Amino acid sequence: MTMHVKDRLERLSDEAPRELGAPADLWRRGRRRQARQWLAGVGALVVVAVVGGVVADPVLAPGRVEVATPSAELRLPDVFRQPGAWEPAFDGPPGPLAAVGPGVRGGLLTERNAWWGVSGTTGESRFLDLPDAVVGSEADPALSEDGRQLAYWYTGATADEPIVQGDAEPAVGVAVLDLVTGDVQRWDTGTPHGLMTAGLVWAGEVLWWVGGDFSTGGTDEERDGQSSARLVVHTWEPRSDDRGTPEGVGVSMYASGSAPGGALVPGRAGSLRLLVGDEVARRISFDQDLLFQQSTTPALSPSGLLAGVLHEDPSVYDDAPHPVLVGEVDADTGAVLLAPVGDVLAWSVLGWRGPTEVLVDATATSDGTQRVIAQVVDVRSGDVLGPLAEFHGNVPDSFASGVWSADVVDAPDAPFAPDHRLVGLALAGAVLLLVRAGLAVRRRRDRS
Amino acid sequence: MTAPDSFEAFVVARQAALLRTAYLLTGHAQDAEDLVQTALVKVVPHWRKIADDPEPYVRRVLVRENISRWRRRRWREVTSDALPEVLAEASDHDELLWVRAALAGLAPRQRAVVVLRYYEDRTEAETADLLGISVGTVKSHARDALARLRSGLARESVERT
Repeated sequence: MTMHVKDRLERLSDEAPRELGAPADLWRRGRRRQARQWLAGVGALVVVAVVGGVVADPVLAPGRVEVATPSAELRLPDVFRQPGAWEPAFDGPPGPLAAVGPGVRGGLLTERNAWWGVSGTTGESRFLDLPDAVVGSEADPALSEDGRQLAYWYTGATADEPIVQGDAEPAVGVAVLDLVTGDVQRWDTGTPHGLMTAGLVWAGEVLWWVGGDFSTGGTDEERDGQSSARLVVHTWEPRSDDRGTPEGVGVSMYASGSAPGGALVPGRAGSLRLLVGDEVARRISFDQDLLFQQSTTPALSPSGLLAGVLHEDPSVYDDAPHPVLVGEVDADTGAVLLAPVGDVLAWSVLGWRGPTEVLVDATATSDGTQRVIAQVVDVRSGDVLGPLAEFHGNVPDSFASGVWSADVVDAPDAPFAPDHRLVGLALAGAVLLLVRAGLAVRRRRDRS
Repeated sequence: MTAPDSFEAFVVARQAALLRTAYLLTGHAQDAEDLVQTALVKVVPHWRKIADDPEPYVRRVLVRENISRWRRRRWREVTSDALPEVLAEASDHDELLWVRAALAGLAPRQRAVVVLRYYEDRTEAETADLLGISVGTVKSHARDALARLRSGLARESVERT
């Protein structure tokens, strides 16, 4: 019977066609099919990865941050931590902030610079969603002394071709965000080309800002990439919206030091100006050069002690720590005789913690990593009383100066916030493995 | 994009044999051509690895593709009362119709077992390997398929006498 079947099958197979198409055509079809399958596979994985990355955002978002009540007191976080690129922003008004610094936020396709803040009540570090904020080294924001108001440069459309500093967007005005209510007030300058930004300084409730319209005089070749502006000093009290343009005040406010109810800004011939409200309250002169560094040096105590770090050679900028100097401001003349505090070295003075205790920054090694710390120094004895806070990542550009004398709060650990692109890729990989496992199961089932 | 010589040589040398097997698997000349072409197109990405001995791989793809097609399309042959014109004058026209109808009555995997075991004279192990099933499954498929073919062919003999 078997042979009988074989004979009949052979006889039937004689009816089969004899030839196929050209082998070259089959080869081309095979190659095209392979390319299509490859593209489809890669496309599917990309789609899964992108969807995974997008879905990861809400899924992995940490819980809400407890927003401080308006009456909440400022606290000094024991850690000032730069958030990771994939950590979220505050999802509403964050309440008083202790500090604000620059960071980088992750994106599915590109990264972008962004400001982040450290809560002055919980110590939580998160990004800040500041509407239209300019993010760049020439456009540092400024926190008020109580950490409840944040001033920043904002960008927008200019009437003519914009001129920018660095690679940031052109600044067109100054905004103040009430960190408790979330209200934003703007001082729109109507600048035609953008503003040259030269400092934001809080003196109590009054914001001093320095900026000026970029000039377009001359041709591009004549300017040779250089831009100029006539800088003007402005004062602004956002809560009453009082605005002023004081005359005869220097325009150098690129850095400021802290003072109770005011601020210290550089003056002529190595002197300081103490700004209180919308006035220059006094001039302070001293016998040695002090280093000015963003918003951390020098600092005036409520009792009239001035602390700063010595700048041995003002013509040289180095990265080394300098001796800490302290002196009492003469109530009549404003003169200060500075003297070193023991052999303490620091990059800058952060602020006053108590009548005779000053906070300076230094480096220390913790968890195998060298970090900047804030340590307390007794200016009478020159003793270092110990570290009070650590800085993880970038040291913030602006502090609420009132935070240095506040009680310490334990900052929470960083939330779990992995790179969303990696999450997407992991999902794509998992899908791939599941598909392969499914195929393997199907093959095994076929065999049985 | 140019086909390598080994591919062209294989297609030229083995197309007739592949088409005969495919014809028995599908029961239709056009479907047989499509099936062989599809199998050859599918092996192109793997050609470099199988070029030394492509026949087993091509045949494996051929029989599995036939089963997959049936699964995908629930594709079953519709037997016709008349074979193509070229068969009309054949002396065994009716017998061929019966054989084809009997094959068409088998499930695709049973048909593949019959074709591989009794037309290509492959062992049970080879058949199992080509189809990706166990030897026991080959045996049971062969037994059932032969029983159905015998039954069909016996009916054919009775009806002819």
